Amino acid sequence: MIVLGVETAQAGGSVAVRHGGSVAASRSLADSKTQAEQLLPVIAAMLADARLAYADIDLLAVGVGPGLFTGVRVGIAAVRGLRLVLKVPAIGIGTLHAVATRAIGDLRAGESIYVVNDARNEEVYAQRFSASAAPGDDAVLLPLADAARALPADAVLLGTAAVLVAPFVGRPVRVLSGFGAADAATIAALAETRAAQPDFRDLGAPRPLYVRKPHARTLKEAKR
Amino acid sequence: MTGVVLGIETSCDETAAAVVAFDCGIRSSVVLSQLEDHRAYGGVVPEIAARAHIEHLDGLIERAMAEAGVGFADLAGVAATAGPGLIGGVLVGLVTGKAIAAAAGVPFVAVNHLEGHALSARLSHGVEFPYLLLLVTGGHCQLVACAALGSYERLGTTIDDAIGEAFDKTARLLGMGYPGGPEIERTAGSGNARAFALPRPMVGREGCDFSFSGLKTAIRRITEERTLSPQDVADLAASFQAAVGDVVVDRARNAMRMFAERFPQGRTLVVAGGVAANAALRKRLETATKKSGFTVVAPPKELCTDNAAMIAWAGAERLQAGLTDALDAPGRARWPLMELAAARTTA
Repeated sequence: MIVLGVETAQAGGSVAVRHGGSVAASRSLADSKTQAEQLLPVIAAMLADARLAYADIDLLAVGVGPGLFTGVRVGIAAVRGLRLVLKVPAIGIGTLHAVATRAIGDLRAGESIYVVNDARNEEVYAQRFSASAAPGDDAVLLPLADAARALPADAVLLGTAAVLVAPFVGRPVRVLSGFGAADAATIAALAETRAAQPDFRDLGAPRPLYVRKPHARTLKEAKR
Repeated sequence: MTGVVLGIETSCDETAAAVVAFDCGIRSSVVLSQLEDHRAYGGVVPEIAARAHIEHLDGLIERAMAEAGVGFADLAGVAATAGPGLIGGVLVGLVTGKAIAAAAGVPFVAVNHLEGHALSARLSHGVEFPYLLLLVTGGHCQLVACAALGSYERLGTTIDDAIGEAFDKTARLLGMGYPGGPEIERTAGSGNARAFALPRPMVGREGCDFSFSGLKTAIRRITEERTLSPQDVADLAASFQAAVGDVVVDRARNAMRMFAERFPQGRTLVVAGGVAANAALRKRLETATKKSGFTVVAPPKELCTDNAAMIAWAGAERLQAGLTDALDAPGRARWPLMELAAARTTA
């Protein structure tokens, strides 16, 4: 099976292609140029590295957020466009799920995972996961202190906002650093696992997971 | 060239997809208006628009392809609006279009939305270069000499509000809903255009620049000074529309003179953009141009308001001229017509 993974929900981003159960090629996007400019050329270059063509792809995978609104849409727009032409399933993977999955190997016995990614304005996107990175609840938007209160007793803390949340916890907490970014290879692997399950159904086009509402006031709200 | 071109438009609050053939045949054109999503805010909210675009665009593309009875293998190219416009929405259409072009293995064209409007009369009426363009939209008000594909010279533009903006702001002052243009036109139908003496900014001046903010200020003053009866509102709408008509006609007259000096063989004034759907304005221009020896051409309403058929057509023209874009083409919030790449060969 050949799986294309795309992750642009966070600054920078990456693409990866899995072939026969392992990563055949991957590339990172540069921070310096916009994702909308880089993404398709970088995918083309990576497929060339792996000597693969678009027509070879069996499954599409994309990080759906929460993260940067525009970045989330850039990745999903690309995958939804590819899906129309290639007529293969496309699976959306939560950004925090991908972050948690990367940390499985670094857990100690009895530990669960709590991911907090920076959402700016003193807020974080937070989600709990089991020791095998199975989601324990949905991703939510929380102020730093609330995120600290929601930290499970047995959890390690990771994500781009882990060091911001840790001081609010009020007890010693183990922080795993270096696991802030979701990556396309993990997203492709998670999608491949999901697609291999016997009860897998193609749910249609992946949708963004914004978690945060758009910032806008209705005319009525503005008058108040 | 054979095949068809897929067009994608997501630069403001309409999500649209269309399939157009090189012989000017519009095979399909679907538009999803987000009007209801934005109405409560009294204007377009960029983030809400971008969210609606990503939600609906791929479904609309499938519909446009199905209605046209074509598959992705039939495409000669994909054209998507790359700006100017609300960047979050632009990027949705731009990246979707690039992905389709890449996977289908066909050329990509990053279309300037304003060029889409500028060329729409060539799609609907086969208008030949050179022609004079009056581009009147929610964000623009320009008089442009269209010399050849990609070769545009701006003769005049607004120094403050765009014309559609003036309609929307006036509608809001008069307690009408959003968007203002159609509301004002309807209400003005039962009003007396001579009831209120409104200013005619720029009229009689040299050149062909526009200004509308003074007109809006005058209306605000009137609404603050008195309580308006329904008849007053109708009269004010009619007076406003007449004032806008006077300004546009005066500016267009100067532009026709300037254009005729540069292009003696050109005698067509194309009126395009959402505000060109205003029938009163079209009529005023038709009367005014007769005296100048020009003919007014206005594409049908569905090609004046935002649509993807004009984007597909601009793509078709560019493909035929060999003007394609790489897949790293940027989205642009601001992108004046004058900065476009011109066709290498002109007739």
